[in-house]
Amino acid sequence: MIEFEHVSKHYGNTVALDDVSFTVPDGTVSVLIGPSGCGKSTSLRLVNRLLEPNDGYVRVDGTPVREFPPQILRRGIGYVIQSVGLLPHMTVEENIGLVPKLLGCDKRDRSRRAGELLELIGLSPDEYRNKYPIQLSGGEAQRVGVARALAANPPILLMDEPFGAVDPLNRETLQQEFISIQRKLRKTVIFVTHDLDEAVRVADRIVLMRDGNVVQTGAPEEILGAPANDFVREFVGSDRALKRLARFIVGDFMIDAPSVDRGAHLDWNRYRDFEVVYVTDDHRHLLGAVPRDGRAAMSSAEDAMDDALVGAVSFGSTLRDALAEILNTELAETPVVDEHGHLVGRITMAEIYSATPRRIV
Amino acid sequence: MIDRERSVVDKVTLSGALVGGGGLFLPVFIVKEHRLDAGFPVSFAGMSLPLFFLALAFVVAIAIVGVLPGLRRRSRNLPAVLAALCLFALLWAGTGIGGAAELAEYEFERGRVSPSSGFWIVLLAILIIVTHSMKQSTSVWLRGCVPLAFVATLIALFVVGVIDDVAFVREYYTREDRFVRELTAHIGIAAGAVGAAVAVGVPTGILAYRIRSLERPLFAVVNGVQTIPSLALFGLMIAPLALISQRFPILRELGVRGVGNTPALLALFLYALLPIVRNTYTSLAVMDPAVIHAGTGMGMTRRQLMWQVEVPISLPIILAGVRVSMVQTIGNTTVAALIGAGGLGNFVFQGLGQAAPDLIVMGVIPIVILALLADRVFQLISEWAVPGPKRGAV
Repeated sequence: MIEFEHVSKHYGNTVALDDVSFTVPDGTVSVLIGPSGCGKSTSLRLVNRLLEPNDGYVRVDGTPVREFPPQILRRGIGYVIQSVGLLPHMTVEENIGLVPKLLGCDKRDRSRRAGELLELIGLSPDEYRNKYPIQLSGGEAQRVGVARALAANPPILLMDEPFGAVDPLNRETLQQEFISIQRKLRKTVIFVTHDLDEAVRVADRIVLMRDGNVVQTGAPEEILGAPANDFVREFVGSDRALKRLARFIVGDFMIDAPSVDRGAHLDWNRYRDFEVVYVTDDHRHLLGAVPRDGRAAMSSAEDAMDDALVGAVSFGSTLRDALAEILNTELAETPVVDEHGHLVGRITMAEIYSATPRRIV
Repeated sequence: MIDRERSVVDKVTLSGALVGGGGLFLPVFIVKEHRLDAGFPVSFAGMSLPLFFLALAFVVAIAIVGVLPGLRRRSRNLPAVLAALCLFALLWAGTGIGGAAELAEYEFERGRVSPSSGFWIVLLAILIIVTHSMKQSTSVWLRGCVPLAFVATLIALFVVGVIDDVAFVREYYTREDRFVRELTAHIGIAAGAVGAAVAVGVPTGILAYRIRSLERPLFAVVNGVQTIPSLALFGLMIAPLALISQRFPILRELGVRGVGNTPALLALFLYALLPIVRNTYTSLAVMDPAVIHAGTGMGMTRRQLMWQVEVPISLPIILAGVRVSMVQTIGNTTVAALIGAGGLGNFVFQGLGQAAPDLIVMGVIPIVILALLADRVFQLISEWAVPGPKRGAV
């Protein structure tokens, strides 16, 4: 657990942090976000003592960090920065093994650990172990930066705009990978970003800051659903309801989908309450959809269906994706499939609405 | 489509071979009865037909390597260099042995042979072929060892005694003791000046980087020194040092005088500074601050940052500066002989004064060899000190 307790920091007359208090519970990701100059990076660097507060305490598991010698403290805290900072004269393996080496691990352990971590971040150890940083792409270098931070298995991870320098496409992949790694490792993470979509995606809690003050803290859906004041409302944007949908998983909201086997005759009388009926094969693979006003007179469901109508979402994706898919098709709903393409349910606008607080100002 | 890599004719190698072939038909050396004798020229063919055809065979071999279709550019390098090395050995051995035979025939007991136009042209051709091949080559091994192989060949021929009758070797034998003394002095002066320049230049470079207000004045000084012609700088040293040595007798007893080694060392030291200061400064300026930030953030101590991050990253660039400095200083030390310092320059200026080209050549050859050796040694150290993907491995 990381606690900020009435922390202030100023440079001359400029106030960087003004009596800031918040808590990062164990095993969760807290995202510090806010406009530039709000004090988010300053807060992060107080934790590993790259900066010292003028007032107040930063505690790790109850102990003020100033009671640890800085080097000892830092070796126990993973640190990822936007510019990565891989040492150019060392191989990927040596870079990953840096903190373990500082801690006195022998070479064999370091090499084994580097292999594990390369595996974890999705780079083949045999291929990447002996490469030099100059031979890596931006995304690969950033992955190695994350691996290096994890090498000594620290309970705490500080990430300072870690994916800020990566192109948007790669950034989303890296965010997804980070989320799945975090699900396995359950580190206590402080993550600084200025990208709200990124914050909504990776955060358990968001700490929204402005001019050295904490404006609002809470789960992303709380902040998006109930902004505390005009600043927050403006910061999260008029599309906050849309962003909020990204916090909800399709699998938690889907409802049963009507389906017929492709060989069977489609009798609309049996599906009086539905606008669309889905067509599957013997193994419940989704093949297509038949809308109510379609070619109902055809002999079999397969002849009547229109496979162009169906673009499904997976049950692990978000309601935001589902909404986008609904808008993409001519139907007012979208089917949901599992990882094998089996039809498992559907999402209609009613489910989208149900996730949205209807009475927010 | 024709594979360009394969089918291209190597024009440089081919023209090198043509130049070399032409040179073989010119007089290769001049037989002289004594040092000042005008002598008479002897060509390769006139000396020994079999040797002439052997040399021609090597030239033709090089030409074939240059034009052979279907040969990769890279695979031309080694055969071309090997043939050039054989031609080089043959040229020197032929001059030595053939020259001795001619001398014996004319009963010139104190006679000598001076290399002539053909000799120098073939040497030029070898230079063209070898430098071209080395530029094409990506192998560190080849680029590092080829110049050493040529130097070793020449030294081996000299040690065995094959080229004893070549004029400048004669000049060497009449001055053997002095040669060793001047060679040692040359190396000592150059190494001393560069050593001092490293000791002063590296901290100066760090200072120029750390204290921004010092950057401009410091570089103004070290750049300014470079613009003074070397001869003028040596001259400029004389007056102030003479004055100082007169004022302070203690210094005079330590050897500080207007002429001699002290002003030479001082001037050479000033010249050697620039590449070292500049490269030290650059090595720090180009260092990614994120690297230091990341190192600190991971818990490196100040000392670990210095030895595991800053030094390894900047060392190759600083070494490159020392290399330039060393090669340049070995050359400049020659001029230092003019103000009474020791060194191989003494033979060069003596030769100039006596209108004895053989003596000049005797002084110049070891200077060239020294510069070459220093260059290669530092290059190999640099390549070894640079971590990362080796050239051509990417």
